[in-house]
This record gives sequence, C-alpha cells and structure tokens, in this order.
Amino acid sequence: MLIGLHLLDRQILDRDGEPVGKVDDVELDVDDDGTPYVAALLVGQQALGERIGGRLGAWIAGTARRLSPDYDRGPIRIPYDLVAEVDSAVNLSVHREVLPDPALETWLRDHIIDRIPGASDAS
Amino acid sequence: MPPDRLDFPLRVSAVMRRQVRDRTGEVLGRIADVETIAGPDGRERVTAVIVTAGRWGRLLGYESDEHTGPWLLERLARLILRRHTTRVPWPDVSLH
Amino acid sequence: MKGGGVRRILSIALGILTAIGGFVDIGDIVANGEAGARFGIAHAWVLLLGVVGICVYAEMSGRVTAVSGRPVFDLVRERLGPRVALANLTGSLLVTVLTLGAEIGGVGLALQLATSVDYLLWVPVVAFVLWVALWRAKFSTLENVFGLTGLALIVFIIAFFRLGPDTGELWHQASHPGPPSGEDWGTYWFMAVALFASALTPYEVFFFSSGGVEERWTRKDLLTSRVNVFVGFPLGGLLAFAIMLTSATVFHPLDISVDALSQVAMPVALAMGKLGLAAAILGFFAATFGAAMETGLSSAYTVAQYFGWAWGKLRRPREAARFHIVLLVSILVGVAVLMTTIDPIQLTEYTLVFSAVALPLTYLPILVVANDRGYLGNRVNGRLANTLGTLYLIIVLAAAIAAIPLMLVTRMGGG
Repeated sequence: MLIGLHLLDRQILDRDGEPVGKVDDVELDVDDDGTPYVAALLVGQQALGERIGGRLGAWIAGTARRLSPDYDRGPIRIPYDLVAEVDSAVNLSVHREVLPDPALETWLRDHIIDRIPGASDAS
Repeated sequence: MPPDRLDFPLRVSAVMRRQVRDRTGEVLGRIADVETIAGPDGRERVTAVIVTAGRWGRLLGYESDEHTGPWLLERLARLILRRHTTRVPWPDVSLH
Repeated sequence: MKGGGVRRILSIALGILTAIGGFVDIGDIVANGEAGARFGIAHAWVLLLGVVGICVYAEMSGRVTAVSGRPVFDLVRERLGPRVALANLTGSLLVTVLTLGAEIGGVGLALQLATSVDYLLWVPVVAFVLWVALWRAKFSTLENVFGLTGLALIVFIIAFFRLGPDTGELWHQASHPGPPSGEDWGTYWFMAVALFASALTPYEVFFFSSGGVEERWTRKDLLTSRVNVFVGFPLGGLLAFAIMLTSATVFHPLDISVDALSQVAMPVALAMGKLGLAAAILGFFAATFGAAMETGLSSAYTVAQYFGWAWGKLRRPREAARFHIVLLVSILVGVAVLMTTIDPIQLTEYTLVFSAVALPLTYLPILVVANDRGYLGNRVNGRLANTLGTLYLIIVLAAAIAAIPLMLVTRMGGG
C-alpha cells in the first residue's frame, strides 16, 4: 500500500457505510524492532489544517481546536486496527457511534438544526 | 536503525516532502509517498519510501502500476514526475 | 408493465435537471438569446462542442460513482491533495454560489414576467421556498418536478418552426463561424468562451455524481447513468439551441439586441400567442428554479465532500447538520449578493473568472481516476473516452486561460 495514494485524503466509512470523515493525516509508530507501522488515521479539520500548513492551515486548525470541547484534545484518532478494508473508501469494522463526535457537527445540530421543524424527518 | 532522529509517534505529513539522502550522503530527492506491506498480523509496516527529484510531490497516481492511460497524461506524468522517481528501501533512508 | 414507461422517463430526470443547470439556466437563456440576436447562429458549433464535452465527462463521473460510490469531489481531493483541492473548492464555490444568487434572481424575473411585480420583491419569497424545498422534499420529487417542468421550454422548438425561418440564411451563419459585420472577433470569442464554459460548469458533474449517490446507484445502474447523460445533456443543448434559433430568426435580421428575459420570450409570443408565452414563462420558472436547486445543493455537496462530512438528502437533516448549514448559508449569500441590486444576468458572467480555476482542476482528476483499475476494475475508460477526454481537457484549459483576457479586452462582451 502507498500511504499517500491509497490512504491519505480518502473517505472513511463506518461499518454501515456512513461517512466518518477523511483521512486527514496518518500516524506512524514504531515496532519493538524499530520498523515504523501505520498506527492510526487522524480525522478532522484540526489534523487537516496542520497538514495544509501556512497561515490558512493554522486558521483552519485553530478554529477546529476552539470548537472542540477540550482545547488540547488533539485530532480525532482512529486506531488502524479498526480498518476492515481499503478500497475506493477506507471501511471501518465499527459503528461510528463508538468514535468521538465531530465537534462542529454536534454544535450545529444542537444549536441550529434541531430547532428547525422537520430536522428529524426523513425526506 | 535508520532513519535517524525521528520521534514516534509521527505524522506522515511530517515525513512527506522531506529530503532524503543515501548512505553516502548524496541527496536523492524528496519523499513523495511511503510504501507499506501488511504483515501476518494485519499491521501495515513501512518498507520503503518513493523519492522524487522533481518539484511535484503529488504523483496523481501514476506511480502505481494499476494506473495506465490516457496516453498523453501518462506520458506527461512519467516525463515530469517519474523520470527522477526512485524507490528507496526504508533501512537505507537517511533524512536530513 | 404499465408503470415501466413512466419510471423509465422519471429515471432520466437527474440528467435532464443537471443539463438544465448547464444549458438553460438564467445566464444561458439570456446569453443564447443575445448570441442569436447579435451573431445569428454563428455560435451553433460552440453548443455542439459543449454538449459533447459535458457528455464525455458526465459519463465518466457517472461511471466512477456507480462503480465505486464516490462522487466527483472525493476524487478531486484524493488525487490533487488538500491544498490544490481547496483552491478548486474556493473557485467552484464562488462560481456556484454566485450562480445560485443569479438563479434566485432569475426565478424572480420569471415571476415578474407573469405578475408584473418587481423581481427583487420576489427574491426573499423564492429563496425561502427554495430552502424549504431543499430541507423537506425528497430528492427524486425535486428532480422529477423541476426536471420535467423545465421541458416546457420545448415551446421554443415549436415556435422556431412556426416562425417560418429562413433556413438557407441560418445554415450560412452556422457554417461560417465568425462575427457578422458590426461585431468584432473579440466579442465573438468572448461569447463563445462564455457559452462553452457554461456548458461545462463544474457544478454539473458535482451535482450529477452526487445525485447518483443520492439515488444509491450501484454497478447495476451503469446503463441508467449512461441514458441520463446521453439523453439529458443533448436535450439541454437542444433547448439552448432553440432559444438561439428563435432569437436569430426574429431579432438578428432587424439588428435588435437582446439583454432581458422578456425579450427572449418574445419570439414565442409572436409565433404562438399568449398560450405559447405562458409555456415559455413556465419553462423559465422551472428551469431557473431547477438550476437554483442544482447550484444550492452543489455548494453543500462540494464542501461536505471536501471535508468528508455526512451529506445528502438521503439523510435526515439532523444527521447531516454541517451539510444543511452550508446549504442555508449559500442561499443567504446568494440573496445578499442580489440585494446589492446587481443584475442577476450579469452576475453569471462574472462566474467565468472563477470557472477558469475550477474547470481544469475538476476535469483532470475525473479523467485520471476513470483510468484507475483500483477504482473501476474492467470499467476503465476505453480509447474513445480517453481520446475525447484528453482533447476536452486541452480545450477546457485553453478556454480557462483565454477567459480572463477576453473578458477584460471586450469589457464583458460589451464590445
């Protein structure tokens, strides 16, 4: 597998095919014998902003950090063990409920969307 | 064990575009991608890096053999991007 | 199999609706009328070129979506990386949101024709109805209602034949591309680039492929996708051509210039009276409202797909909160732009500038991924798709580069 080509920027789906986010960055760790391996997928605008870099990237990451419930929480981290298969998307073996909630989604849902009539109706 | 002085855990974005030298200290280019192979335990271990001497980091996918055509784009990609692309096995990589 | 025929017609509504946004949205309705009045049908070849181009790329993106489940903006970010994709996102979002504003104004203009109430008073009403429709209604209902009602523009085809056109003269114009006396090459080319760029606007492929996901296309729907493409876009192009033809027949010989929606409808009124006019206005209304839905949804689709958020009308709004907020904000921005009292029709001309960034950066990744066996297996591009794809990539690039200097030189085609 090529991390840049097959993993980075790919859509992550949970076990039901629901979108979780993009692979905004990938975390490597080392084995006991010193060989690096893919440890986790990093998801969310904080990881994305830090990857984009520059003033724009810093702004994206900073906004994401301010929105998150804990300023120092760091980006959403999905251990690579949870990846079931990589094809045109990165498919997880778990349901997205077990992953941390994206802060912006939660905030907008609770503060705006839920207050509009019909927010929970299927169209 | 090479590469020297990397602090793990480490983000791939921190490795991409880094300059790579061979063991004699000669500059080979910059890292465009990182190759891994899954072990029997399912763990994706790093085996090599793809190094390109060109300015473009992104290879549009033409570094992979699954990818061929259209003719003109492929020729362009191979001409501009792949001419100076080499695969360097991880133990031989030296980052500075 | 009584329902079969109806269902088959409805299953191409996505293609028709997408094509309406590209060929007969408010900017194009007037641009085709204007081109016909000023240049006759000397731009006919541009429409043909545009129809073939959008067919080639919509077919590829429909195929990628049906086989892999990934809409176009996913591919853009995957192949171009987050920075270049962000540049594309910015460019295409500016095109799409400005066009959305223009379409809301266009619906207002169509209503003004029907009611004589100033279009600006209609704008808030239209924007609200649009938002409610996108918040509540089913995707398939929207595409069926507005895709099919937009076909009322077929009156332009009927009107053309009723006008007793001078076919010899029209053939002469079509087969001798170039400016007639009194017009110069700069404006001729500006018009050509504007018509071509609007035929291939990036939001068409974003909308079409996302619509495929909304309709849960799988490998089995490859044929549906193809039929949508090869019926929808040529039909859209034909409607645009009919507008150009009627305008060329009525206005061009008299040297009258066209710059308002009401003038575009005049040839129909001449040929078919009040009933024809009513059909034309209904067609304008449905086409502009359909284009407003297309551009509104496209704005939210692209942002959500860039960041990997949950999106789409197939989910309850509370399960796609960020998507619905982007949609709402896009509509509000569109309205805010209109409230500066800028001419909605002129607004669509500014989008050319942003198309220049967005077009090549959208079509390049589609072409690249359509050749990727990791994505498409044995459904990768054949030789024809690749030849045409490469050719159109070059044309799109040339048009993108030429757009801005032409715009400056001709002062937006004013000459």
